[in-house]
Amino acid sequence: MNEFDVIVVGAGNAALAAAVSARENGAERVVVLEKAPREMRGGNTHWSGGVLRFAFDDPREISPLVPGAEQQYENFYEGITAYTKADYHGDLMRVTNGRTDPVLSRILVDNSKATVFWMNEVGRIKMEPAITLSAVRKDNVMIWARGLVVRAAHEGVGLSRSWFATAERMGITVRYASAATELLLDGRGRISGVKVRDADGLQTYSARSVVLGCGGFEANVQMRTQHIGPLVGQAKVRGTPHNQGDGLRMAMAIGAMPWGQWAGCHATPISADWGDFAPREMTDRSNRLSYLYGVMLNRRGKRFLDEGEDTALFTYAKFGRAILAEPGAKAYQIFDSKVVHLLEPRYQTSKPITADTLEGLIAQLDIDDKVQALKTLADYNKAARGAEEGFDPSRRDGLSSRGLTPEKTNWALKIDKAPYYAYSATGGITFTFGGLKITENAQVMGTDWRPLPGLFACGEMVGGLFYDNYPAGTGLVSGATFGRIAGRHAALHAE
Amino acid sequence: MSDGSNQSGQPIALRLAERICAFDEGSATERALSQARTSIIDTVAVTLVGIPEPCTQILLKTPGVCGAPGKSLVFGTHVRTSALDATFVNGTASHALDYDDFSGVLGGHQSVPLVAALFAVGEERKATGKQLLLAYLVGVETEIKLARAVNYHHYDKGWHPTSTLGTIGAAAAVAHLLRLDEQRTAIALAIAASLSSGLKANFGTMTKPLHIGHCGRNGLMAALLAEGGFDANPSAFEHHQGFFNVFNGPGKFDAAKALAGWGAPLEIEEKSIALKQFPCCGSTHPAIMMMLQLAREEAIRPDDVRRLEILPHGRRLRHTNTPHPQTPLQAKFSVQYAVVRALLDGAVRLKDFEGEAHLEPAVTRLLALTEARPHPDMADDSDKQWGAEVIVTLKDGRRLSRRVDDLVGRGGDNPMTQDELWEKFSDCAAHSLPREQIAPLFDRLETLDAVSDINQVTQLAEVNTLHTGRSKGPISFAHRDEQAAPETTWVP
Repeated sequence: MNEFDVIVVGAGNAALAAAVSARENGAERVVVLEKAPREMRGGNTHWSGGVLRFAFDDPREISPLVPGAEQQYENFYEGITAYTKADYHGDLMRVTNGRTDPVLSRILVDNSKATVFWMNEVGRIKMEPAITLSAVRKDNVMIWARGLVVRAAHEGVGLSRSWFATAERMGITVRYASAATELLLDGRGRISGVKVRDADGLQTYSARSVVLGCGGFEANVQMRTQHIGPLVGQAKVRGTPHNQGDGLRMAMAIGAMPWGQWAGCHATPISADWGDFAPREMTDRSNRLSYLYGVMLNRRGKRFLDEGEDTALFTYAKFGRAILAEPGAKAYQIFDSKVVHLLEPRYQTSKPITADTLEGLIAQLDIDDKVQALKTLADYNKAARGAEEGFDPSRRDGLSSRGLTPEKTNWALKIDKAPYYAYSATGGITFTFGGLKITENAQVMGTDWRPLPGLFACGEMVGGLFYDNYPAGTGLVSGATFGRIAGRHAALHAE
Repeated sequence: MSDGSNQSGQPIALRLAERICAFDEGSATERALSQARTSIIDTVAVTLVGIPEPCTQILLKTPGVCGAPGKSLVFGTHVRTSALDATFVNGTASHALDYDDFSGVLGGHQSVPLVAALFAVGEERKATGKQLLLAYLVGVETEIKLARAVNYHHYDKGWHPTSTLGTIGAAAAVAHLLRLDEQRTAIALAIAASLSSGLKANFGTMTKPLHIGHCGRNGLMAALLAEGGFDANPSAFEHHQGFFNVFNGPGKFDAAKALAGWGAPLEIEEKSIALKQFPCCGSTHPAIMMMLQLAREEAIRPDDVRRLEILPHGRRLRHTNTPHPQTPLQAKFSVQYAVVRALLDGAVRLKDFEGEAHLEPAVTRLLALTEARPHPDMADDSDKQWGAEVIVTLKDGRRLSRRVDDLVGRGGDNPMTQDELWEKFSDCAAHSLPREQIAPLFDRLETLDAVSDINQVTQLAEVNTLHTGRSKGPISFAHRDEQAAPETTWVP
């Protein structure tokens, strides 16, 4: 009874794109195996901001995705700069220090626009201008971040909901709380199915094609510690607790080739208020990225980095790791009333610790050396500047402290207007960069440099695209692009 | 007829309490739980849309309201107060637009008296989602079974059953959530009987939604008092000066029906339970549904339409025949406008009844092609009074139509799909929640059964006011040549 044409392991954006594509390309019986129970479904997609980075030559090309935007916003299309394939590929090369896979990155860039339109038309994913995430207000007008104009309506939660609705409408079977544990081969070494653990025990699911789209290993403490190191080993997890590297290990157990930066991951400063996993309700709002408007203290009561080195975009990735290196992997971000309105809306998901004096604030914090903390703040305030000296939150204002180690080189305002606010912060891991080597048909390559017949991979499991960093908004488009390709070839293979 | 005093000598409140206390997870079918979830989602939606309404805002500003400290949230705000006050305000908000679900047997709205109270006390006691769902089912069952005992005399006499019976239903639901024993549950019901009120004379005014906040609060208070050791007469229903005789009058009720078949099957599984899908007069809904279905299935574009004919049941048309609405209120009672809106947008939303939405050029152009008349095949005295047919003539000459014979709200055999429910929820929630909280809240409500502490849900309905940096003004973009575009400032 568990006989299918295509089995898709995982239920995030990439996996559901693969399932929909397999169905669209003629596979009759498609099943999605979601390890999580219904209430935790959807993988990291649920936690994402839903932004879709894709290449276009003329801004008006995007109009079918965002109907009505022109009526709703002034100068909407006049404000968008073209984002060519060369721009997109250049960004990929730049942030990965030239290491992105030349073949896969081309497939991603060349298909990016078609993928997003396919998500909209076939996936029935509603989209909208990504204004609150990627447009920046300057004076009285907004300025777009290049290439980041469109997102899924209602962000990752909306994206996930739409994919499931489309999958159900297309007659795709979704099995919740069903964990694939092993890939099964026939006598000739071809994929014949998967073994699944569910509430009733172990089941065998049969199919000629299996698509793995079940994410990286960021939630697996052993794999994190082993591959990325002990600092990231103790990081909190920003997304699903279910990405435990199962798919990677299953595939490597039958000879798949690891590929890409296994020591690399995406990590950011997040709230330390929660347990090892950020609550699902908080989606991507666990981030704590407005440290540039205040100072960060460790548990010894000391500053440990230049909070104002640059805008958050350029510092968040390394600051996540920097906090992990501090005692208890924890820090406090301290703000005063002059700047609290500048904090990102995502700070609303925590209740800050507040006090009318700095003494009263420090007394409430989990800081071991409170005398030192007060001294640090006093020293900082002596070296810091007044707002009238040219504070400008919209750019690097050069308002540097004078005589500190480390110095705060921009936005170094005195912390002197009550009430005062403290937010906890630690390092949170988003996803891992290490994956499997795939062909341009999304087939998984074996360590013998021959594809494994019937096995496909997509999403965060694809190795080689991202090294050191990745351009925001690329993950979902990459997931859907390779998911779509994997689904198509899985359907063809199953015939 | 029975006056309820003769059987087994046990007071009615106690016999009801036995049934309430015996109700557990095994008593609820999957269908009942699913309907309960849907109704709770729907009620949260209409609460969020009702928060900014004048009736709620006046209440919130009234000295003494929400002054008590507590852990219970006034939805869509940062106010935390006592469970009693949160119920008062949220309950009032939930009925402000009369957009909540209803029951024909009750002659009123079964969910709004219960949901505000259950969330408010559930937050304080850290109830699970499953406990909340079961308590909700107990409340609905109590209300509608009581309605079978007193209606329609009760309704025709001028009582507002949502409020009068809702008080008792809320007491039953909260008693179940608090796990009161049979004696105390009976006391809670008896106290509630004394607190019951609500006059239909105040329909059409702010006092109608006030009934709901008041009845939920009273029901909650009855259960809390009973928990604390308060006393009341367990015969308060059948007593010669009790609920039945005072509210309905001797011989005008059938008390046995309040108990007969209690919980088996549950009233919530009846076909007479329905949701309102669109924010306009219910009489326009069958025609809207047919327009949406026709446009979707035949891929009709507004520009292709040469003529639009709307043929509702005559009784549905009389008060909705408004070919050219001039105010938002008239628009709500215009079947022509509602159907044109459905054709134009593929949806009918709250914003379509605000400002001058009904005067948009695309609307007036289509209204000029539209004609409504009573359906010739749908007789006034037929037992099916909620039919409609929509006929579209296209410019290429094709004439397409869809027809339904009887469609009272959405429920029973024709439940709202999750997509339709999400459409309504997101439309409503946008009136008082930041956009990024709307989909996570819906997601959590959809899986309410698995929620281990109801505060996980309500935190998503809280609006934090600490950071007010976000601009609310109209958005304009700098010309691309005038920008030094940042890579991005947003970090995923």
